[in-house]
Amino acid sequence: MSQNLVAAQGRRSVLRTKWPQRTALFVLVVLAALVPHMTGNQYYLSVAYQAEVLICLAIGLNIVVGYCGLLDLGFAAFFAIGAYTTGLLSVDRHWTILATIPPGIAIAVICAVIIGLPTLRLRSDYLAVVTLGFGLIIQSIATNLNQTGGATGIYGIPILTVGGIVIQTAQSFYYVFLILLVVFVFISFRLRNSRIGRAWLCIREDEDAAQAMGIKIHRYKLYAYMGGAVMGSVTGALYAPALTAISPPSFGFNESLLILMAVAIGGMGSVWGAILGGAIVVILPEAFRQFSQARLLIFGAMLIIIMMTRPRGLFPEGAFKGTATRLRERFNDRAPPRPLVAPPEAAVRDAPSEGP
Amino acid sequence: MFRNLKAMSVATTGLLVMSLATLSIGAQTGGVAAGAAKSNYVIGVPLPMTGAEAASGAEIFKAEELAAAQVNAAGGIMGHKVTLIEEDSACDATTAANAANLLVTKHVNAIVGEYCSTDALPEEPIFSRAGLPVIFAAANSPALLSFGYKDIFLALNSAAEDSATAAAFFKQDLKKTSIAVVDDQSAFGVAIADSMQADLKTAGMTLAGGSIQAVPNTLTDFSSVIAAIKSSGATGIFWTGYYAQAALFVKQLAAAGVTAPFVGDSAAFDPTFITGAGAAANGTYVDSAVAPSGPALTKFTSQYKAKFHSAPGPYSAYGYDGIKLMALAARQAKSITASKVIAALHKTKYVGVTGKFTFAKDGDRTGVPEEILTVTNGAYVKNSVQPKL
Amino acid sequence: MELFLNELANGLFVGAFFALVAVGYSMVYGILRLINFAHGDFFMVAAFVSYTILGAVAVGHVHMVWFTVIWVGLLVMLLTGLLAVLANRLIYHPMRRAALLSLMIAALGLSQVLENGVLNIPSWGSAFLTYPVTSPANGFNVGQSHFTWFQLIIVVISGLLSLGVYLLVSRTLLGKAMRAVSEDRIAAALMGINVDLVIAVVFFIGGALAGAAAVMTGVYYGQINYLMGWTVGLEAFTAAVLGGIGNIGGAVLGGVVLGIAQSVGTGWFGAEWALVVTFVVLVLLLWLRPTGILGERVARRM
Repeated sequence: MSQNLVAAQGRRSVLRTKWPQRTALFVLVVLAALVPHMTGNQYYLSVAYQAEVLICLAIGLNIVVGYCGLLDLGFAAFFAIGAYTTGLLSVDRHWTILATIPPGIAIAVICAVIIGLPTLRLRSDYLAVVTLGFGLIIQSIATNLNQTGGATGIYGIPILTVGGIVIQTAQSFYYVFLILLVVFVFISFRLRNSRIGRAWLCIREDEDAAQAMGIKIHRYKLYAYMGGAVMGSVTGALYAPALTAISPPSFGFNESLLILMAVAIGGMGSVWGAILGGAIVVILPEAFRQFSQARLLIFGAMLIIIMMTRPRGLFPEGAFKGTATRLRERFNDRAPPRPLVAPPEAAVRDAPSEGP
Repeated sequence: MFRNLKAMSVATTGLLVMSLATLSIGAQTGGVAAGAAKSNYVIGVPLPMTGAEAASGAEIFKAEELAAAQVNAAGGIMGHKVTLIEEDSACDATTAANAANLLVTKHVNAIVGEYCSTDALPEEPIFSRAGLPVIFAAANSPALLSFGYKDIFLALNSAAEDSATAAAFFKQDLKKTSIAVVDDQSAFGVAIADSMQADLKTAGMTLAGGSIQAVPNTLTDFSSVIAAIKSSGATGIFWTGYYAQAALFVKQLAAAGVTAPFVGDSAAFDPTFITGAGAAANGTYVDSAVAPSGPALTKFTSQYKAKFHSAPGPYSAYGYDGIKLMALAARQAKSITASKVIAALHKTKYVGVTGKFTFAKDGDRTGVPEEILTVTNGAYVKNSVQPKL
Repeated sequence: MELFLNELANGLFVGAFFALVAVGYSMVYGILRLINFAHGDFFMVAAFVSYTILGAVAVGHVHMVWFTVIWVGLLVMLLTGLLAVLANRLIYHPMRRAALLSLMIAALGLSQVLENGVLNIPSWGSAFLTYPVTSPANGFNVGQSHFTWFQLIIVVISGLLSLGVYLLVSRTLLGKAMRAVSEDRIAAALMGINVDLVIAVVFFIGGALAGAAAVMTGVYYGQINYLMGWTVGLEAFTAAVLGGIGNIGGAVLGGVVLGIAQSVGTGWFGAEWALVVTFVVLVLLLWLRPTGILGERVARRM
């Protein structure tokens, strides 16, 4: 019964928000696609595609942290799994880059289950340290095994070709990751409004209540890990040929934190936030390059300021829905349709915020 | 919930506009340099300025500034003034790739820099695609030469022979044949440790404990590693990590009563090692291609001290020579065109403060003998006996 | 067997450092549910501050050196405690209603600010600095391993400090207030407990312990660097969770178990696998006891 209720609300929100989100996405994609025509600057384009890479990862992590509410401090491990699978298969076994993606996904999913199973019973903080450990273990293994190139990593990763098109310049990688990004955004929205997505949100809001409602929380948590893992792995697989050389330090704890930062700055649970956050954590340190040694100092200060002034992130979940509703109100000059059962928004808004 | 929407959009837009503005200011300064490139010879300097190796990066950059000032004082390169653009590569592959792209965007004429091999590896294809002449100041992993790029030169000769020298020194001079090999899991340290393992086998010596001891480069307490070395019955210890950690290691070895001689590789060569390890540093050895000495070096050191009020690092002189060498090659080529400078570098014969420069076909510096230094009374001196290869 | 005993002793010693930092980590966590990533950097800043003070005063007073180290140590504990209180007042306090993840990211920001702040101070910078005071090398043998007296002193001081904090929390009125605030902040406030003061005291104690650990690290290892806090913080965090986060005895136990796991892991598999062994042990332990060795179930808030 309650499941139906959630379902009904979910569908409503889709109906209400579909057109502005689609329009916004369309406009953004068109604008983004035009960027290389506005600047031929190699550096801008390479920063831009790195931002896209981080956004792709942030969207993946958003499924785990934002949708399902599982704190993950080792997400870079899945990124590493994708990149290393591609690196190894393409350099040692001479596979084409695209052919290495499926095995990368398979390994990532297996690892997601391995990390997922023992952590299902753990609550957030313990989960954090276990995922942290998982990230460090994957990095250690990559550093220690000769088969993965040890500390030097893998270099000489071949050129990516898609259907005869050679992808080598920053500009072409920009488009590759733009396409990947759009696909991820699309999948994210579809998942969010699916049965799985609603189950995730329920688990995030109240795990015990979700269980009481008959949601199989263990299974859905594993789905969340898998979803994130697949996105991380695919991004890694395409990032390896872009970098041409990969080494363990690129996939450490700091990388995991950077991805998590992108999600938190943007706004947990919000795909738009992940996009904004990913862009910020890549672009800001680069923009501060002229400060040389002080650039990370300024970046750290910005982080604190953002989190203090906007603790829910710059673009929190639901912000867009708010805009849509307002727009509708303004243009249609009529009140928005009220939700079926949920209390009117005003009541929610004015309710005392949950105490610490 | 949405009351702050306006504030939020303003904040967001402001933030993005600000960062884009800073980004474009950064690029505009690059644009100026590019426009002025007709009269300036712009050398890009990728070096770690943040992160764990930031100290070494800063020391090398200062030496390059000194060299550039001297070249300009002597009239520049056929009237072109030498200017340097420094970019932080942070000893991290991704940051390094960005730095390299940024330098290419700023239309630099040449590259002199890099300390970490981890950075140099992803930078190589970017510079090579841009056709730039590249002198790596201190990055010298043998892997750097394995791709056959024609425009890459190593000012510090490839570390390929380091381990052979050390193995010979242990066998011939110290008469120790059971050697514990310890690396710091860095790209550089592991490469040397692996080749040491092979060299020990060829020389009929034993690797104590049967395998290389690899320690994370963040480790500060070596007690369990030392216990493992002790129980392996090693009679000599070869260390391929960096100097700061070496100081901790040597100090703890001494405190644990280990008397087996300690030989460090070139990355362990730094005065900070001696101050850090204190009395325990005395009697340790370092195997190094980095033993420049002589009046030229003394002069460089005093000039550096006069300008920056601090002592140069062990690799500063290589950055200095790199700039001087690049300028010389351009003068010899009678052109600042990249391809001609590269051709001139291949033919170069130059004597810098770090000794004679000639390059092998693959860009490796040749003709610099390896040397064993030892620490006596808190200072590096050339060891009285040297191994014969 | 003897080798194993040596590894055990080594682990105990290393664990003593983890424990001191972990207790601070754990206390802050227990009361705010905040994973304070900046805690390791309090430790690092303390090392630099003590380096500067000792460098300025220790010159020439060779026979008085241990007296100097003790009062500088106490001073640095005070200063680091104040630094932690300041961080709480300026950053965490205004954010006390924010989600945990936001707090954590702010803590990460603070960590970046502290590290790169030290990097940009000219006389500190990025170099590996040699600590002005070094520990004497004489000591005693346990089996094959040699330990210095100073190592023993470190273990004793760590133990005493942890015990002191434990007694403070479990036996005094202030401790009772801390436990009350950690249990239910609103209820505690309603009972007339000055919650802000209690939180400030917790931050102060955490910072002071990190300061003590920093001075001992400086004297024993003799080398400091602006990135030294990161690893220590990570290990302390792991130790705190291992022992049951929010629990002081657990943090000490976690530190010791972590130290021993690393040491034994190094002995059996080599140093490169120590980290893997540590975390495999951790995952197994948490699998068996999802709330850590001594942990109790804590209310969830994320």
